[in-house]
Amino acid sequence: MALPSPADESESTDREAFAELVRTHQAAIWRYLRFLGCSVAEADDLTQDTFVAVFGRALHRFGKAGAAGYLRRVARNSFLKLRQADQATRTVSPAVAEAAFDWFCRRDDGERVVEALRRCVARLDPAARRALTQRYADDAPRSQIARDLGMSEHGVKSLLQRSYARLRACIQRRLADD
Amino acid sequence: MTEPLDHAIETLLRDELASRRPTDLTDRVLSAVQSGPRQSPAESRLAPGRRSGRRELLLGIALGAVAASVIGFWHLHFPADGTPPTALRVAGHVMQGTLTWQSAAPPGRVSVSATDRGFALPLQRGDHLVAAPSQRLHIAFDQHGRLELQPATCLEVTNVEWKPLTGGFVAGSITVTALVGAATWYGDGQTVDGPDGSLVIAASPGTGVTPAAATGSARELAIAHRRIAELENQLQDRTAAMPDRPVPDDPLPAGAAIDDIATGSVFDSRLAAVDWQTVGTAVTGYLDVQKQIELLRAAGEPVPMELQATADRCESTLFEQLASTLEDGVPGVTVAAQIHHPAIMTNLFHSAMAAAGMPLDETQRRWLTDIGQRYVAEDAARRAGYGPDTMDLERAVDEIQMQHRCIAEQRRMLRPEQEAVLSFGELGERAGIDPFGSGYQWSKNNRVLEVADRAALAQRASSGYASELGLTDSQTEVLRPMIERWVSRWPALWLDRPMDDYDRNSRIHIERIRTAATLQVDLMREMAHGLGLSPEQLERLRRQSRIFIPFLRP
Repeated sequence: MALPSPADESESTDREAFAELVRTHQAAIWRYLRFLGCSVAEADDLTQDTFVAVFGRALHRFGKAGAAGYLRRVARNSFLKLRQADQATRTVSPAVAEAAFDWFCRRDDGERVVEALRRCVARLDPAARRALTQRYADDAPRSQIARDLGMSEHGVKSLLQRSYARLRACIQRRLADD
Repeated sequence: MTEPLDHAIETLLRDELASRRPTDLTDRVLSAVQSGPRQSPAESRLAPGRRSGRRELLLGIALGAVAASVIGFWHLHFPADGTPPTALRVAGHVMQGTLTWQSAAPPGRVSVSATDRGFALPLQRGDHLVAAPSQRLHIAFDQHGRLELQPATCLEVTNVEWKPLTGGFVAGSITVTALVGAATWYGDGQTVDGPDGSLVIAASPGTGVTPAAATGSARELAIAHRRIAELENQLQDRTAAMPDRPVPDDPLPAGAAIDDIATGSVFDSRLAAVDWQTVGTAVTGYLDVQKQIELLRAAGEPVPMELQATADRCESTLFEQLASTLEDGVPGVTVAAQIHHPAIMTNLFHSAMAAAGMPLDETQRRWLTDIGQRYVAEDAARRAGYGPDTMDLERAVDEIQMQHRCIAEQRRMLRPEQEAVLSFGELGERAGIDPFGSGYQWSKNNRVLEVADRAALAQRASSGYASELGLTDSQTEVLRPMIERWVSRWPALWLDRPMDDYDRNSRIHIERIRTAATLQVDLMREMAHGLGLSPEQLERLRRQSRIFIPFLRP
């Protein structure tokens, strides 16, 4: 069971209303798919599939929150279908992904969390920022980060742990202050 | 197991530090909608005049334009004597469906299914790539893109060009044409539609495309159905031990028409406008398919796409019918609660039983209506009893519990054979499965807290509330014993029971969620009265409606 799904009304659907629906929700759906474990390309594809699947359905009737919930469900189903035959690659527990996304968009569409993260990253010292970038953006192994920063692997491990913990606390503090 | 907060931050870090952000896909989506991806394969094959629309799809990247991104995509195999190759070996893997490759020259035909996954095919002009008739085919070419073929699509390789680069790599392009069906290349958003399939297949005899593909898909579905039958038998054995529901004293002969049942609510006029026959068919269809899906999921087995698609279609039909009634303001703190309002549930029982060929008799109709009407009266009194201090979670929990009691009472009026139509057996005790129970509502708005032990749970809950409400140090000190009492009230039956596979898939036991919700309401009441909260803090607490469900790690 899911949120209401009004009839297919392809011919009478207002394309502009549909485009507005896409513009309003696409970023959140894309983020949600990333939380579920999609690669960037998969998130792009499944975001597209999600909206194509609901084309003609008058989701606007149910308000922003209702439409967002419905779209997430469609996106989740598409993701599960994609991973269905490939369960080994499902590394994120759906429950964790859902809870993570709930936290992300609890206050708004997630913009406050993203803003808090950006500000907190900016406050890190350059070495910590570089280490985190190599670790998270480039998926670089610890040995490579150590080489680039002129540190031991153990030092990198500890730098990453400290930087992440500082970042996490900073984000929580900023969100609590807002 | 990763904590949700860490998973969120790490996911965001990956994107933000790499400057990967959601891009505006509006044009791409509109273009996809315009190109008709919603058209079913059958419609696609039968659509007149599409032959003139045949276009070519460029798979890969134009020669020389971005040669670097082709590296690793095609592996060039020079024969030992150094003569130029006659075919490119294209590597990728099947993400979904079954790819059948029919070579224009020996060695002949190769099938790669999603379970085999990896392939490296020596593609050349005249080769065919074929998707099974009842399943979409997704092929990933590493980081270069993804090719999606609609069911029963046949692509022909019409051109292959390449040139060797230094270091043993090649750059090149492959051009394919859709002989039948439609395909999309998710690399640069190109799509291609085929003409009338049957004509083209007839013009290319000997490919063996259709029979081979049909066999594969049918076998997959048949295997799933066989497994479902086995699991159903197992479930029936376990369910047989459950107590029988009482049979009504005076069952009258069946035969009621599928009209709506007035429940004395202000929505009765709207209910009359609903096509309950369609609703009944959709509900019973949903129940039938969802039971199969849940059995497979519970056994950790893959769910065939056909089953999921059927369940989705039934759901869509159901909600399409109920949409105007829900919009009219059926009471409920969520859409799920609106649907479980007895004004709707009474009629759902009625229509489902009629569609299953076991319509409610007059006694049952009367009982169900009475129970529904009693709910409407009690619900009005409940709402009237709330004041500005009432917390959102308290309202939600009260509502779910009232609806649960009402629906359970209505369900007890069913005959055993009617109940069997609805029953999910022991799986119905899990959240998010049984629409004729409270499990669907309990499945919403939850947050799992998985911790090492009770002390960690207390610590986590204290810091969570302190952060959420912006508590001062002194307030946090007062909170601590409240949290400890909350932890101590948790029955060991639930708290000491670790997460199982159902829990990890959001199929948490309803009783655990109900316990969590009621204990949390008690805790929040205590906090509202005992923490000396400021008006802003109090407001935050009242608006907090998420249910926290703790699990101790084994």
